[in-house]
Amino acid sequence: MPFSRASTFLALATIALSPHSAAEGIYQTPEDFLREAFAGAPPEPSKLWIDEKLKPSIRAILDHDLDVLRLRYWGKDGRTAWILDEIGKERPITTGIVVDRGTIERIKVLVFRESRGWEVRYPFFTDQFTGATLVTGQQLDRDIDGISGATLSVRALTKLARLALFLHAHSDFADGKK
Amino acid sequence: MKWKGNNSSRASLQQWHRRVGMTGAVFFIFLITTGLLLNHTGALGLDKRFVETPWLLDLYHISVPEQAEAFSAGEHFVSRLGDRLYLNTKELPERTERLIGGLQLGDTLLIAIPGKLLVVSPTGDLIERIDSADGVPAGMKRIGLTASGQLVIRAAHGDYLANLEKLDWRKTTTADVDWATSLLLPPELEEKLTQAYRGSGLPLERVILDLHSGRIVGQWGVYVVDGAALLFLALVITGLWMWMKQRV
Repeated sequence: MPFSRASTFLALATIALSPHSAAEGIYQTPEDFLREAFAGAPPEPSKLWIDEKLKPSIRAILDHDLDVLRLRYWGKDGRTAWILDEIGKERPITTGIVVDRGTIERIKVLVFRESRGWEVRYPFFTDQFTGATLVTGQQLDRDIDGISGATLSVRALTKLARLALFLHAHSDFADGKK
Repeated sequence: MKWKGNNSSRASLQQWHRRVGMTGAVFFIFLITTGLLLNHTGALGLDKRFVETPWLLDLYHISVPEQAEAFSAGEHFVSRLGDRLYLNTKELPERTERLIGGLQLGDTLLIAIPGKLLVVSPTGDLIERIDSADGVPAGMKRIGLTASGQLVIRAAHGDYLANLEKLDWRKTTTADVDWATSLLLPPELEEKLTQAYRGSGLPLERVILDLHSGRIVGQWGVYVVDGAALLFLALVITGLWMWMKQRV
């Protein structure tokens, strides 16, 4: 018992005292994320055009427009995977999100470029999104607990989760189409 | 009850108060106006509106950093000035310190910058960004087309045949590549680009802030505004003083 308490303390201390070693890192390449999401055989990418019908909802989710007209995603058997960026405080956070039939299956921070807020990459935070769906107003069906000192990163990931769910619903793999 | 002070000193103070008020009125109106504008920067979009007046841009030393770096892409020109990217004279929503290449690929235009490929419509709309997350080879040096129109990328670890539909990148040793080569912009276009670059470097908000503080004419302008503020303070104090004395 004392040993497991000590090891937990050491783990937490390492996390708390190593902000710079944990920040600005590539935690997983998008290629590996996709391979993992699709059991080693990711499908060919599909394209989703961001037309005028989608723009208002995207703007409501992100508080800004996407500056591209087309997004890539990977889909198979009702599941889609998205590699999306959103700025936390000043730099983009690259995030991989898998949506399975309208619910979030997993969300993973792939690249974190800022010096603080990196705690959002840990499962204790990202696991909150598992099973999340969209309800009225393109909001998540649950509250996401924030992290002190990482408000902007939390906000960015929450936006991306909502965006992925929204985009999935307009993809070729929504509602069992493929 | 009237002010029991010396009539002459009272008259002097009133006259001084009147003269300073009249003299300072222009300054005060100016400061109030610029202050009100600054209070509503967001609503008025002052940070998103830019000065294009040449003499004002010259005052702020807003100049073009160096000659444009450019490539032709079909009938269009892709160029970089400073850290801004342009398709013809339209600024693109991407900043970069280096332009690797530009070319026409099918009915779209392709622009290579460090770490990214930008797919752009002929009207300058950014269709897609393809970057390292999508497998773009690291250390891009050049882009070009084979005789059959396939995209080739020269990168740090060799040449790659790129299929942007499938995001597929295959090593190739083909020598028959028409590489995108930088060129000089036509003088007319360079002039327009210079104007476009300068005309997006100075927000109106900056100018109004500097007018309000006096900084627009340098440190002496700041002292003048400080002086106007102190005069205004003196007017308030003397005005209150005279009012209080009249009431006593």
